[in-house]
Amino acid sequence: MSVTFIINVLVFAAIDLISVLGVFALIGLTGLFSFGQVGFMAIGAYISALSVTRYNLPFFVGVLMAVALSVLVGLLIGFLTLKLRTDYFALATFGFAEIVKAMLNHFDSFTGGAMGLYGIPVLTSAPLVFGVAVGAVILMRNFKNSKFGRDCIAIRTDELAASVMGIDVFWRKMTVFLLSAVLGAVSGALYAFYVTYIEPDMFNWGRSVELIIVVFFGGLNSLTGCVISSLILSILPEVLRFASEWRTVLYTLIVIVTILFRPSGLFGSWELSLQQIKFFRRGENFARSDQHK
Amino acid sequence: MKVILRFFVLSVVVLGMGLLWSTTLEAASEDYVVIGTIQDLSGPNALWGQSQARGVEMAVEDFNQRGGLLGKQIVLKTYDFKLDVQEGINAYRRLVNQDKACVVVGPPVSNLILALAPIAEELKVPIVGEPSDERATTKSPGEPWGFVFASQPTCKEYGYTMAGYAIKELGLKKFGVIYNKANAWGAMIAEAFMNYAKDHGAEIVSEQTFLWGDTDFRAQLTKIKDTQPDALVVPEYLQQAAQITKQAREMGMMIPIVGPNSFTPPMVDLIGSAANNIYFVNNCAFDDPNLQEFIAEYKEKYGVDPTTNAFFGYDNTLIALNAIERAGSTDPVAIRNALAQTKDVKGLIYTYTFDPTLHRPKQFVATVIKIVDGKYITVGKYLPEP
Amino acid sequence: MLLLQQLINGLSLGSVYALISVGFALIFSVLKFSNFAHGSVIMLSAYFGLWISNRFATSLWLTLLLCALAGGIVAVIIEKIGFRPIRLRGGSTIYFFVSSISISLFFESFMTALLGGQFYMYRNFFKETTISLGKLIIPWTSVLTLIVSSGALIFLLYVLYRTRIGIAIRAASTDLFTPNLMGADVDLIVSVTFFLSGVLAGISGLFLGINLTVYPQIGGLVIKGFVATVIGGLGSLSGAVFGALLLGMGETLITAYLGGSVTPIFSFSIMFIFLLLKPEGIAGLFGRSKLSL
Repeated sequence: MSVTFIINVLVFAAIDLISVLGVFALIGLTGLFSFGQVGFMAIGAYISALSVTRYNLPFFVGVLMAVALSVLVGLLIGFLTLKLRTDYFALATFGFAEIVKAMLNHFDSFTGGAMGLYGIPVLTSAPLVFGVAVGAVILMRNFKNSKFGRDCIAIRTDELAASVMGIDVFWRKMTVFLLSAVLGAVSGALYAFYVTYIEPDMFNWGRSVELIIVVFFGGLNSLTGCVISSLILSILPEVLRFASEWRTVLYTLIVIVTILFRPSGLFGSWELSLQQIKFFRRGENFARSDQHK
Repeated sequence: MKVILRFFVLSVVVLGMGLLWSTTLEAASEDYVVIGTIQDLSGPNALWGQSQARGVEMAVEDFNQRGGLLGKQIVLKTYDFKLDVQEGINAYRRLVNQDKACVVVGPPVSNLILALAPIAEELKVPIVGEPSDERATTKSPGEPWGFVFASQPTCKEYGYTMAGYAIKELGLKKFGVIYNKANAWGAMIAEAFMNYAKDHGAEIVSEQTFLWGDTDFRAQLTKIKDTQPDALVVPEYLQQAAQITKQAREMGMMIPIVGPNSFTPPMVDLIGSAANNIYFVNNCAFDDPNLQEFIAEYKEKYGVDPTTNAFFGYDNTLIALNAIERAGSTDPVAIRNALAQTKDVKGLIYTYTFDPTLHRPKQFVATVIKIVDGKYITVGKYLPEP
Repeated sequence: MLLLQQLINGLSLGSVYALISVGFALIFSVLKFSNFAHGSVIMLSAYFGLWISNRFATSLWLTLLLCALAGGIVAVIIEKIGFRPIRLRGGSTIYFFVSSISISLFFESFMTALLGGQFYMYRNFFKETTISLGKLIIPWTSVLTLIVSSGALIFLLYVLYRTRIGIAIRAASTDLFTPNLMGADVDLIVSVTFFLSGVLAGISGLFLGINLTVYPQIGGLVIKGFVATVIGGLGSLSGAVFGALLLGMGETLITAYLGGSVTPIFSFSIMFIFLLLKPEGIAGLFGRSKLSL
């Protein structure tokens, strides 16, 4: 059995997971339906790659610059769109991602255009990616359990009520948006330095949809569900290789069935917590552990 | 709750088992020579990917029928990458690590091979494909990527041949060019065409672009028509080229249309009455006697006509298997060395000799074909002057 | 003269968008979500029409009728299977949206797996494909599409304002549950709405198929319909048509004067502007909202 191959699949899964976590924070926790995640991934990938290959900056500086630009762009887009209602916001973020792609294609003397950026050095290693992914998960967990996270859930449940309670709706949304932008940018940067070749078409709408599907599949409320769903749906294509032509068909069918029959996603609101693991090990009944929800 | 945890554990176990199972399926055996191919079987270019995959299959079968290679039968593993680079990378790694393929016949898609070139250097299993992007085989001037080989003309050669023929043989002077700015292949051919044209006394009167997903080209065509060119240059994939051609004719542009090898069948079926006064550069002529046996066999086996991609698939596999034979072993590095020395391998389309510093043939002689009243008429081989 | 020709090009492009956007806007007004499965109905009708016209050599008008019917039926089936369960359990609009995207992906990948990426052509319905007025060229199919779009709009408005079911649909667009109290069968209303939108999708599918060859991704044009409805004012049918025509003209003029690779940047930026400054769209200029003229 080949370990290197499995590690390769897991690296891609981890890179995707980082981006999915951003989408989770946006859609799952705050109810902001965004199609723009690939836009930030593209920015992350291109800025970091250009910094290193063209301007010979060190890897971490490149990533930092990518993150910085994502934050700036996120601020701009956020100001323009966060006050819109749900579907308008979705459309606007879609437009944002398309604009990013079109600009990458158009300013080809800077970005390489359709020819892509090529010969990016491999600076992403499996330990780095796994480390960042774990870090992101921990970050997300703390975020969800914090007052900030609860504020976001309140916003998702009922925006008006939340603002009446004194929550600054706009700035909460903006912070989450920027957080997801940063995660997207980091994911994109790690991706670029792993596949060594990037082109604008890699960051298309279909990818955004995949990320959203992962979150829905795992459960809008459940971080654990999100992580597991991301892993499952990243690994599934490899397991389903035998049905290669019908893979996407199966994939979408699974998602449709999940949405229809278990709309809260695989895990609903359930979270794996340390308490439960302890109980599990002791073999006791841990069914009472999600009382605090 | 309990139910969910059970479900979770179960799904992880099932998934883990599934992954394990899929990876141990048909583990490599000493009794076979394993080669792999990665093609777009269900993505945007499925039409050509499937055709190419079949060409590869036929080559493997031909060899197996004649006794295999190095005394063993050849096992072919085919993977679908759906035109997605990430999937392609996974497929390549799987072929190398899981299936222990000794050589990989690649897709005719440059961007995947560009991404694979450094990975191939790391994993040391050679790829024989047709990336028409020079960067896929050339790491830096004079230094090729160690494990990538190409058997198709570069976009530059296509562009030069198109331009050379149009200017020298058809005597055309003013050109309107329309291409997909998001498609590296089309953009590179367009660039090559325009550079050649300018260097040889012709003029590009209009340069128009579009993007993936565009279906209406009248705005661009109207602009081109307004500049009154002698010919319209359409270096694009089949679908867009077909729509552009139809719309151009509908708009009353009856001037010659010059294109690359995307104008092969089923182009004529797609454009109906617009199929006239078209000149395009292809790798071979359909009525080439060399191809007839293969075409007949292919048709009998699969029920449809082969496309040029089927020929590519066959030839690439031929080159790969020939290299294995000359290397005398299934050691991928030895095969790579043999590939670099490929000389006079007679394939369906060409006779291949690789230049060791380029990892592709120095030069291809392409064939010009014209479309007159819905019929393909071979004009002949053409090599543009530099 | 050149400008005039470009304007005609723009109108011709816009008329294609108009047909798509009316059907799309109808669902949005009544059920308040963006139905991406509309694209699937378009695509499936295109294939259906292809099969019918090639197999039975039907005339253009008969094929049109059959495609419209087929589209309507498929749309109703999609609603019953993919959306009704969500509506019945009171799911939020996000689920409709994600379900519709999954459904559209499902059909697209299904047809690709089934038909192997082949392109198919309708046989020629028209002898002369264009009309020439002096130096201006007007494609026949565009004229036809424009006529049919207008006809469809008028027909829809007739149904909505002059028939009982139409009144019920308009009532439902204000509030989906109140009509129940009035004795109206909401399920029937929803089915009829989908049937009507499906009819429009069927017609769009036929025209798109004739113009563009038939392939599984043809449904992707539904995004243009979405943008058009935003410009026109989500909820307004004639707004959708005007929005579509404007979008078509805008895209054409930008392509003509700035180049085809810049167009999406402008289209989406304009959409952004509309979203921000005038979310009621063009219809809002006339002080209307909801499902209306």
